[in-house]
Amino acid sequence: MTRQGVEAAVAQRQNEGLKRLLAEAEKGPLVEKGDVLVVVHERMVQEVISSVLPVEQVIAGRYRVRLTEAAVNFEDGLALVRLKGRASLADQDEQYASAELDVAGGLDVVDLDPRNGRLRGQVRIIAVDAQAVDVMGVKTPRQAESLVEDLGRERLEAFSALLAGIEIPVRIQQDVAIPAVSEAGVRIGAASVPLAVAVLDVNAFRGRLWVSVKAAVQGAAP
Amino acid sequence: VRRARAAVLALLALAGCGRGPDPTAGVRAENEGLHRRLDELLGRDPLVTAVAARKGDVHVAIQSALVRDLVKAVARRYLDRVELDLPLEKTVHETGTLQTGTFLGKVKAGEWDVTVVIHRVRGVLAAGEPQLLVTPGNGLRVQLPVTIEKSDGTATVRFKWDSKGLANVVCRDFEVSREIRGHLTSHAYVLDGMVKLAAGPQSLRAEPSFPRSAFRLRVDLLPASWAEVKQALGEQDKLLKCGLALDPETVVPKLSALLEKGFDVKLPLALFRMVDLPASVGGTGSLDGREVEVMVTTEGLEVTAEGLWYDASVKARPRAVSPSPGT
Repeated sequence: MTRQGVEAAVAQRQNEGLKRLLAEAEKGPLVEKGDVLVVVHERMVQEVISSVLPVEQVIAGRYRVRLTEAAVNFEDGLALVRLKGRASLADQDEQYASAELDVAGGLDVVDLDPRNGRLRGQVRIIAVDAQAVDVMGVKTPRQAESLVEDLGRERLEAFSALLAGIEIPVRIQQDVAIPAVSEAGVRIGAASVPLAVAVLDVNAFRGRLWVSVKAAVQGAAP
Repeated sequence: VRRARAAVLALLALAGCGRGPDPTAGVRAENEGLHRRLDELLGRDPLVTAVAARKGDVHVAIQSALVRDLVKAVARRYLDRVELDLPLEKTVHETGTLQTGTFLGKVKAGEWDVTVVIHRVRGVLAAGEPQLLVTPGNGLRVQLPVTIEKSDGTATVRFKWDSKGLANVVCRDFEVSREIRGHLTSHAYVLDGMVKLAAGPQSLRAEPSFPRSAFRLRVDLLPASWAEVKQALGEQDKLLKCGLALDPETVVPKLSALLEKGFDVKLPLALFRMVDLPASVGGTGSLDGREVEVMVTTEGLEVTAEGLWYDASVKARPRAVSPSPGT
């Protein structure tokens, strides 16, 4: 897919997202308040991703990818995560052949991690664009063009390894811990109040991810 | 730098993608129209506009019903099985004058004195259903009924008789004391205080603030201790031929009334502890297992009738990996 193709794929996803959001908004308030509403600005997710850049890893067992830039855009029903960097062959020096890589993915907040209650998202790759790079005005070497073609034959799933899981540092815990007390004539055993929590709905618009969470004290009257 | 372009991947079968003039122009134009319409609708949504007006990178809103359920459940469970062991050394005391009729008329027979020192009381506090009320300043007023159950305690009771006048001839002064055991009579109390909702370093917190109000505890003796008291008084009565002075039938109700009147104690402050609410921002995040440390700055905290709002800004940095031993 060309760079133009990546933009087209993104536009198409936004088109689908916009139609879905509009259909919902025509019926009533778009955001289901839930018991807990978490609103995450795209800045925060970009901050989390950018803070670990640059990252380098080998994908599909043969390509070394070094990601250097991230851009996050929560708009029009699409939580878009865009990563840029460079790909080369894992067993060759970067000088041998390299390509600029542009990866577009959509962040779906799947659930709350049952171990720590953290919001856990998964990025599904929408499109990837690779362009061979010439250095110092020298014509693109055949190896670089070949690298781009090889990357083109890879399945999108191979690129998922670049950005599979994001943990957003917002936690909705599944219990409230009550600390024990043992002092000055008072002894209280430790206890916890268990909560039933689950993500109800996720939307992306106005630069934010809107996550509605259902939470209830277990054993409380409905 | 010259770039040689090549189509590498096509996830979406977009007709005409990459050929001729911009094939996405139509979709883009449609998106612009849809976006405008959506923007219009969102502009009328009070929740969306309220969030847009808040500062920060992340906002957490907890509905008041959940906050209430949580505070209630925590208060109820927290204070439902509290073991109290209060070293009190509290003294209750009563004195009186006994007058008796003689052939000379009514004369003062003497003065009696009953003192009880309650050394220690142990008990289990049980909580009832709390009442909550939102108050200004990010707080909730909590009124929590509690009862003290399964209590016992130790005390020393001392009886003193000081004969006066004519009675002094036949009744000697005496003083008797006994170690006794008793229990608190089950009474309901209401703990009335505030729970302030505050932002901790990483979590929302409920910070209790209860004034150290005095609670009146009332005592009753165990049957064995009552029997012991009666026996001690009876012995004095026979020995000193002073039936009028400390007749158990007269004194026991006085002692009972004295204990029932009770004494004031203040519950220990340690009873009230801060509790973290289940929503938090910060700590660590991660990207494909690479941990990120997140520093949080609270931008706002507001309790409204609808719920609790928390706003924060964050800064992230890769989490420092501690060097392994020997490196």
